[in-house]
Amino acid sequence: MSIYERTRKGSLTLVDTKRIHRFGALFVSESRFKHMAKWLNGIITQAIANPLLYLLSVGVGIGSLVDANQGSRGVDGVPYLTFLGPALLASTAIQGAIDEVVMPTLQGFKWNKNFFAMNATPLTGKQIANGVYIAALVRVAFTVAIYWILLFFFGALKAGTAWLAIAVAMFAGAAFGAMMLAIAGKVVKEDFFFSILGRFIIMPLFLFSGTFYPTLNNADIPSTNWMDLTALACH
Amino acid sequence: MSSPLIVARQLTKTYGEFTAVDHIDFDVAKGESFGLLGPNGAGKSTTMRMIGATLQRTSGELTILGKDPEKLGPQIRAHLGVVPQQDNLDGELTVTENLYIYGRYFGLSKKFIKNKIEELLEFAQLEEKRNVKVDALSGGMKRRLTIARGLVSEPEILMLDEPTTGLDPQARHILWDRLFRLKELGVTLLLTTHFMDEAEQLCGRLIVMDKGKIMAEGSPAELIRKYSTKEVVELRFGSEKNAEMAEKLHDTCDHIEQLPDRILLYSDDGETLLSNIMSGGAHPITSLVRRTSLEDVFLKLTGRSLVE
Ligand SMILES: Nc1ncnc2c1ncn2[C@@H]1O[C@H](COP(=O)(O)OP(=O)(O)O)[C@@H](O)[C@H]1O
Ligand SMILES: [Mg+2]
Repeated sequence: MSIYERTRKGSLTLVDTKRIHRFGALFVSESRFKHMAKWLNGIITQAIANPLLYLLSVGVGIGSLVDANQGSRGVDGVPYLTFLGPALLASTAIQGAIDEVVMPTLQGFKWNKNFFAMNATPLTGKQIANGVYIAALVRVAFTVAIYWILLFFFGALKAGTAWLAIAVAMFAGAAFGAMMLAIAGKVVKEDFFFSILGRFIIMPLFLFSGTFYPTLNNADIPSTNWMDLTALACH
Repeated sequence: MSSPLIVARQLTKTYGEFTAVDHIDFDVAKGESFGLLGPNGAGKSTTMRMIGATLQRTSGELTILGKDPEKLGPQIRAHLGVVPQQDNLDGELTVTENLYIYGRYFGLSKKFIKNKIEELLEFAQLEEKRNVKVDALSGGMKRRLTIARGLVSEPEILMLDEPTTGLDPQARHILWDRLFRLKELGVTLLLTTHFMDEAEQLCGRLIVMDKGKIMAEGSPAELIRKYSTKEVVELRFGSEKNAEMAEKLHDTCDHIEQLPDRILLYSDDGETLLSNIMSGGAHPITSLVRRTSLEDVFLKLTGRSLVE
């Protein structure tokens, strides 16, 4: 028996496959958090500055115009800022979820081939995907929470049920995140898909789905989308 | 004797019409250091990926630690340390962070990994680089880190796919030294290479692969004994005259190989052969007597060089 054989325990005793079976996805999330920690300052700045600038320019700026012309119950019976707030919350959740899911997937398959390293360990493909997804949702929850707090301080949240907007926004983020994770895994060889997606799908959705004006005003087609649902919780 | 850790029978992988691995048979026993030697495209990486339970075989039997990778992938991968042909470290994280997250993928405790990292940094000679981002490391350092990463879970089998390809000679020698240490420690090694000197230094036993098939199997010494002579005389007469001289010297030795730039004459006694040739009136521009190597075995088996 060699020295190595005597001093080491060996994977047969060290590695607990049941534990990996149960918690594998969380170990993947943990590695995502290590990545996020690298630019934590950026994440925090973005989480604060992004809503702040939106709320100041669009909410307060344009809002004062809207409210001046239509009165303080100008849009859907609430001030413009109150109308706008929840929609921004949901779209932030959606955009955040997409970013946190698409980037690591591209990276994992193409740029540094992380996923191939993970795939050679006891982790399964499903656990890798779940791990990335869970980490993305944690990041989104953080961003949404900050957004919500800012909305609160801007006086945009009137109803007592406004906290529900967080949940609805999270659902929206979760839904888009899951969809994008599935797509990203499939089309990872086509980088350009994501620029198309950003420009022609996400951006128009954001602009024309009732974020900035009520959809029901413009068309008599009943529309239920995430923005409306989020708004429902707040108004 | 315990049963082999790896058993392959008629193992085959096809991509459409193309057969990358063609009905190969081999066993790897515990504590062995087993090599797959062959030129680019021989099917070495494909074989490694099937053993690593990340690529499905097309047909044949394969068991690793007594398990079928098709059915028990995670349970097999739990006991393998994998060093792929291309490093896939996380470039944005530091050296220790890379070791840490990889240990976590094996479900190891934070405390265990923390202690293990110290041992691995020492092994990989990366103590000074512990907090450096991996993107900033040299090729040789990255390779050592990938090997260290593969050892974090104290695997039953360490699999290395072309561990030193693309490294400069100095970096290669440092790596060989590390791998040799593992071999001495009794770690079961499975490695591929297209360098015959690497195979000779590191492999106790090896298979010679070409075009998906096994051409020969044995220890480096056995293979040389079986397929070649003890020594070889290398002669250069200039590219125009090589063919003509090869023809003339054909009967002086056991076997002759003609390469574009030189001819190789095989004999158990190179010095005597060379002096006979010289006294016979041949005037090579350069001459050299050397011990035969696996390169010569490969040349004999396939008529081609390992490294083109
Ligand atoms: N995914 C794939 N699709 C088609 N052909 C492949 C694929 N992977 C490998 N091959 C082919 O299989 C052969 C063996 O490849 P590989 O195992 O990488 O060889 P080696 O590692 O010995 O250089 C090569 O001819 C390669 O082109
Ligand atoms: Mg290869």
